[in-house]
Amino acid sequence: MSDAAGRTTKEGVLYIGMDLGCYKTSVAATNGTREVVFSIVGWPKDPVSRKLLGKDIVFGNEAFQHRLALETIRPFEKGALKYADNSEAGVPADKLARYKEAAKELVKYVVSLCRPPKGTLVYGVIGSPARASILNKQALMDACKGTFESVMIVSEPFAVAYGMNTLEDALIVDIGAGTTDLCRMHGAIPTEDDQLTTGKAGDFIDNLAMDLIKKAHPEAQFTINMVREAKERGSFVNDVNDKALVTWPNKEGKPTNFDITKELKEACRAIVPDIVQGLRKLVSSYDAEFQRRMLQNVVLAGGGSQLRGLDRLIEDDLQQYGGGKVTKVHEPVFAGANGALKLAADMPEDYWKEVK
Amino acid sequence: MPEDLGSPPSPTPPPPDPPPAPKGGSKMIDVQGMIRQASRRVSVDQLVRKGLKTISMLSREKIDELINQAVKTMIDKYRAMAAGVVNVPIAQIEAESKQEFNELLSQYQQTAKAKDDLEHSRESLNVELEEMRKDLEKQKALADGRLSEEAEKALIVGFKEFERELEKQVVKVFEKRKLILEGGDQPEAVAELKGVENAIRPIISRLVAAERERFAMSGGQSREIAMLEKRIEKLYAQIAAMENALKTISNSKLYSNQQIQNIMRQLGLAQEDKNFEKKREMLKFVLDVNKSIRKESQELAQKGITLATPQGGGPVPAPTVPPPPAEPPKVDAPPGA
Repeated sequence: MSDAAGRTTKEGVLYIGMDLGCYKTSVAATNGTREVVFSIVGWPKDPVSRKLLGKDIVFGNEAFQHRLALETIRPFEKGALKYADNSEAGVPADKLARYKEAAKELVKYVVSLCRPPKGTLVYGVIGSPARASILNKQALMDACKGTFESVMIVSEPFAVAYGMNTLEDALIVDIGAGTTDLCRMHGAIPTEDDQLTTGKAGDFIDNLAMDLIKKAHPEAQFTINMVREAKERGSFVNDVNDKALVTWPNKEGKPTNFDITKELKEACRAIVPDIVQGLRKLVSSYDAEFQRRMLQNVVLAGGGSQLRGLDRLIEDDLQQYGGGKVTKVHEPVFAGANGALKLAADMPEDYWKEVK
Repeated sequence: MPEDLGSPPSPTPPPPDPPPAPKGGSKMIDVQGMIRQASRRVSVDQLVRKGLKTISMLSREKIDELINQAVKTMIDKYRAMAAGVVNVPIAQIEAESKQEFNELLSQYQQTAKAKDDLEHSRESLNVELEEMRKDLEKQKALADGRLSEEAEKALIVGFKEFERELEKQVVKVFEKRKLILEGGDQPEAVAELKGVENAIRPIISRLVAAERERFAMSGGQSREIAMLEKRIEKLYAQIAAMENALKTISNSKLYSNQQIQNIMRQLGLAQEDKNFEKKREMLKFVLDVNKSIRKESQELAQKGITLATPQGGGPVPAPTVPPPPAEPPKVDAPPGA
C-alpha cells in the first residue's frame, strides 16, 4: 500500500486542526493532542544567547520568555500573511521572506507537538479569517508546505460552527487577537455576504488599555505584555464589583499597587459596539422569517470571548430587536482548532489527494 | 474484393458467410469475419449508376490491423491509468494485489475482533443494567415495606433472640433483687423496686428498638456498598474491554476516519448526525474552494502578483516545461488478451 510519492501509508493518517492566531496558535489532532502556544518564533541574537538557549530556533512560550535574547517575529502579527498585505500589517518588504520562514517554522513546530509517528500521513485543516485574500490563503498554504501531506483552508468562524454542529440559523462571533469575525450560518457554506470582519479584537483592547492606563497612572511602568496579562487575568465588561488590581513598578522602580479596573473595563467594552453593529447588519439582511431564530443563537468563540459579561452586554443590546440569546463556546481557545479537526476528520480520503 | 462500408443495402442481401475461426497469435478480434458479417455485396454497375467514379480500397487485413492497434492502445492506456504507473510488470501487479488482499484481510480480522469485543461489552452492560434494575426494584419494595428479604428475616430473628435474652437477664436481675429485699425488713422497698422495674423496662425496650433499627440500617448500608463495589468492578471490566476494542480500531491500518466512522455506525456506537448530508455537501464545497485558491494564486503568480507585490510587477515564475511525452506503455499482454 503506497501513495503516489512512494511513501508508505501503513502507519495511517493523522488529522490535524489548526488555528493560526495572531497571538496564539492552537492545535488539535486525532491522536488526542491539544496544545496552545504563542505565535512567536525567535532566533538567538548572538552566539552568547545561542549558547544560553542551546538552540538555533525557539518557539512559542519559550521564545516569549526569552524574547530579549532573541530576534523574535510574530509571523501573523497585525494580520501579516493571514489577512493583510505588507503595508497594512507594517511588514517591510525585505522582511517578508523572514516572516514567511517564521510562519513555516511555527507550523512545523506546532505539528511536531502532535508527535506524528514516522511514516504517518499528516492531513490538516487551517482556519483563516473571513477577509483573507487569495494571496493570504496561498501564504498559509505555503507555510504548511512540507509539513502537511495535504492541507485545506477554511474560514475560521465556519470551522467553529462546524465543530459545534451549529450549521443552521446561528451567528458565530469569533473574537481573536487581530480580528473579530462574524459569520451567519444558514445551512450552507457561508459566502462573503455572510461574513464580516472587524479589526477591533484582542490587540485593539490591549493598545487602548495601555493608552488609558498611561493617562490614568503616569507614574506606572509597564509594557503591552503586562497589560495583556492583566487583561487575561481580570477582563470584564459588565458592571460587577470586581477590581483589577496590579502591582507594577513606579517611576522609582518600587512595586506599587494600581487600580486599573476602570481603564480595563473601558478598553474591553470598546469592541462591543462593532460586534453589535455587525450582528445587526447580518441579521437585518437575512430572511425576515428567520431573523428571530438566528438572534436566539448567537455564539461567542475565540480568546476574546472570555471577557466576562460580554454575552450579557450583547444580549442587552439585542433587546431592541426583540431580544436574543448569546452563549459562549465551551472551550474558546480551542473552538477553531476543534472545528478544523472535525472538518479534517470528516473529509473523504479522495479529497485530500485532489489537493496534494 | 472492393468493400464500401457506406454503400446502401441491396434489396436482396446474400446470406452472410460463416465467421472464420480466430487465427490466434497477435489477433485480438476477428475483424475480417465481423466485416464480412456486417457488410453487403454491391455490384460495380450499381455504384456507377449512383455516380461513383472512384472507390477507395482498404484491405481486410489493414482494417483488422488498425482496429487491433486502436483497441490495444486503449487497453494499454486504461491499464496504465488504472495501475497509476506505466511500467509495472504483471508479476508486480499480482504481488501487490496479493499483498493488498492480505492486508485487507488482516484489517477485516482485526475489525471483526474489535466488533466481537464491543458486542460482548455491550451484552455485559445490558445484563448489568438489567441486574441493577431488578435490584433497584427490590430495594424500592423493601423501602415500601412490601418485601421481606431473607437477610432481613435473619436480622429480625437474631434480634428477637437477643431481646428475649435481654428480657430474661432483666427479669433475673429484678427477681434476685426482689428476693433479697423480701428477706429484709423493709416491705416498702419491694414495692419501690416494682415501680423501678416498671419504669426501667420500657426504657430498655425503647433502647433495644432504637438499636435494632440502627443495626438494620447499618446492615443495609453495608449491603448497598458491597453491591455498588461489585458493580463498579464490573463496570471497570467493561470499560477495559471497550478500551481494548477502541485501541484495536485506532491501531487498525484502515485508510481513513471515514471507514472507522462506518464501523462505529455499523456497531451502533456512532451517533447519527442529522446534518450528515449537509456536511457532505459542505466538504465538497470546501474542496472546490481550495482547488480554486490554488488555481487562482497560480494565475496571479503568473502575472507577477504576490503578497510582496500585490499591485503586480513582481518576478514572474518560469513557466513550467511540460514533460516529454511518455513512451507508449509496454505491457506484456498475453496473446489473444
